[in-house]
Amino acid sequence: MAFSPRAWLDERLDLSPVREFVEHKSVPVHRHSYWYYLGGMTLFLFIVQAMTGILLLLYYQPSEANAFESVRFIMTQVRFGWLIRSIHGWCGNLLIALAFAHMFSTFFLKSYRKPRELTWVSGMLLLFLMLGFGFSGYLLPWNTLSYFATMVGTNIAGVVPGLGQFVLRFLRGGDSVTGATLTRFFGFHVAILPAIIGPVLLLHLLLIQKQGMSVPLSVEQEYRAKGTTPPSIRFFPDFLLRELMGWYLALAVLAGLAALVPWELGVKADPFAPAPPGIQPEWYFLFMFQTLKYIPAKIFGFDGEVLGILAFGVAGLLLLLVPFLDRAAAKGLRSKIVKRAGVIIVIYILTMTTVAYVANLAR
Amino acid sequence: MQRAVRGAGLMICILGASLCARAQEPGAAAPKAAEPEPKITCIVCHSNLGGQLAMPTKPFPTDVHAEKGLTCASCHGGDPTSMDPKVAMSPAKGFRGKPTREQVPEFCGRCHSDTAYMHRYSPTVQTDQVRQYYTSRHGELLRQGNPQVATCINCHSVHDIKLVSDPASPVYPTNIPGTCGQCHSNQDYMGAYTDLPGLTQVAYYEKSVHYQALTIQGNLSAPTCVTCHSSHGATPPGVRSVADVCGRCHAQNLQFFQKSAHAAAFADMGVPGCVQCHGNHAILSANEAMLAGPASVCMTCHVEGDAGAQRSEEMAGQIRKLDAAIQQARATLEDADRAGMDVSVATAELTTAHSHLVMSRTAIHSLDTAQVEAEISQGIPVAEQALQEGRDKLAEVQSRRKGVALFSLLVLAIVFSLYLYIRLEDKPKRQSQ
Repeated sequence: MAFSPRAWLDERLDLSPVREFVEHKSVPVHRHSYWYYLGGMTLFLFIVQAMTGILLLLYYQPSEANAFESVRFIMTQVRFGWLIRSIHGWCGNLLIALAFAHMFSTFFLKSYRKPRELTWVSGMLLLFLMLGFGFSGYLLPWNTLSYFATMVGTNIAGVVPGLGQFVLRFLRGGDSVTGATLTRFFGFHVAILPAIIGPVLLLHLLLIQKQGMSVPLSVEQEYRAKGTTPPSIRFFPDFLLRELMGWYLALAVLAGLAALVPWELGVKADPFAPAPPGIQPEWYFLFMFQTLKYIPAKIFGFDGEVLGILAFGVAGLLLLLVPFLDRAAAKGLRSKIVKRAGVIIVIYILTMTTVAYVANLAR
Repeated sequence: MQRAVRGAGLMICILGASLCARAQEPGAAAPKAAEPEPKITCIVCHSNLGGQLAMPTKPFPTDVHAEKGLTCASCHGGDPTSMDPKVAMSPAKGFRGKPTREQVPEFCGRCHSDTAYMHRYSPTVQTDQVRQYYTSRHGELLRQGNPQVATCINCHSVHDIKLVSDPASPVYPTNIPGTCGQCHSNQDYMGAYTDLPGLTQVAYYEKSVHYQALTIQGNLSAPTCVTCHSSHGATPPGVRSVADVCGRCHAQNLQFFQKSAHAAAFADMGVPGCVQCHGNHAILSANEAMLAGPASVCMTCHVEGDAGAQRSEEMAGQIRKLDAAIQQARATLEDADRAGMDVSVATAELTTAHSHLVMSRTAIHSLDTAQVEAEISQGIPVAEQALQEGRDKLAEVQSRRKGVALFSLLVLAIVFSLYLYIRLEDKPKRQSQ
């Protein structure tokens, strides 16, 4: 009798429940189905990011004296090091862009409604953690742009009343951005954040598998009126094949970006040099950065910048808690207020980001 | 500082009483820092007197002499262990009090001219400052009875004297222009000295390439006032000695100049060598604009079309050619470097081309176009090779981009194939619906 790996594994692990799950798992099909693929594409990019990050870790040296030189070594001496670094740089940006898109699609389709509140909360935590990855990773090449962008970013953190100065010093490992900051950010980037994101990601994926894909409220209402449920396709292989198409598409976009705009080495950071004009944080923080520029110095006697940062903090908290605040969605009803708030937030983020870019180009 | 000295004098007049205690004379053993410090009554009394009498007591603890274990009595004599002013400041106890301005050089020279004594503090320390001082214009005038001229304390201060290597010292390289300028830029102070060229020396020096090197580049070896005029033996260099003064640093320029036709011609005309073209205090960065064009210094003596003018045009053209080639290569290599390409070898090679550029600019002092051309002809191929290497690296960046773009298209083709496959698979379902 021929050896069967499947039988061998079954004998030892009893994979029949997994097989049963995969065979019977189905995914609903409707006019908004394509939004489902954003989550999978984000996951794919996260895997790419982790793999390229591990490869970079083999050569990267996290110190003020060696960081820039080690990145130069990766780009000039390591075989395909330039490609790995370029992919890692672009993948981080694309990952955050897709995470935002996935979050907003989930928001507008009201997928956060009962019983998926925890899926939403874990997803939001993942987004915050990814922003943390982006912020901490940006400094690591230790070039002029990354150095001063980190200076600007950590300055904003320092404005928060009460805890601000503590947070500033905690992030920087001192009063200014130095080699101590670099070492600290490296620790966040490769140890602390991965240790946190792992369990949160696992929880997010488990909850999705447990609860299945959410059918948008509008679609659900239509089918409820007809007395039926939306049609579905098998997870394996039908949905997975479509998901694979999304993954390949993400890979193509990633390679396209790396080809069109290769990630450059830049110029080594000089803490004693003046900041170059028009220094900005990464694009995903730009809307906040630009807003703080427009806020008056004093609002009703309070520091305008402090109020702005507090407002962003409150907005983030409200977004995190939206499943518990949108009571209408929990009852299967549509809430115009929440939808309009979401539209306003998206328009605001896009507008302020564009304004920041245009202002910088004009400068 | 003068006020501090006057304060010390006033102190002596008021307290001019007796004191004893042997001052630390040259030849006596240097005090050991580890030994218990003797009771210093000078500071105790003077710090309570207030005004000018107390002034020396405040900065003195950080004075280099105090740090080396010397006390007030080491210079002024007397007995610092006695609380009785009559005893403490008794001439019988060696009390010397405050020196007059004429006495200051010898007062300091008691120790600083004593080689055996000074070697206890530093085996390489200079001990001819006072001798040099009396050869200086300052020293000459002091001997002629002019008490207004600078003595030791005008430059080094008094009672808060620092080592020359201490950035707080008035004679630390970056502070020297300001220290000299205290008098030499002061119209009220210098008005009587009509033989001096003016009060612009420091202002002009601060515009010079030497000052930029000193302050912006932080090069403490860059020339200051004392590099050309000397410090203790300060005197203006004469017409004949200017080239030698500049040549101490610009040795090759001097060699080329001395072999050139200019050396004899300048001597005949009685004009100083280097200063004639480069100026003295406001020495700007030298470049080809000094040779040819509207700012040409050659044309101050030569006329349009003469042999000298033609030669300077020719040399300027050659040097500009190499300079442009180096700049183009450098810009290309920097582009490639920012793009993450290894250009370290080409960048190192380019320094050779730059050396030839520097040498060609030096060789113009020979007035020999062949020597300039020799440098240029060696520098141009190096710069061109570096430029080509930079271009090759940038071309490699482009070929990498094309490779990644091709991969991207390949992946898009896979996406499209998957899409077609899915549609093909779904066709029966769609037909059944």
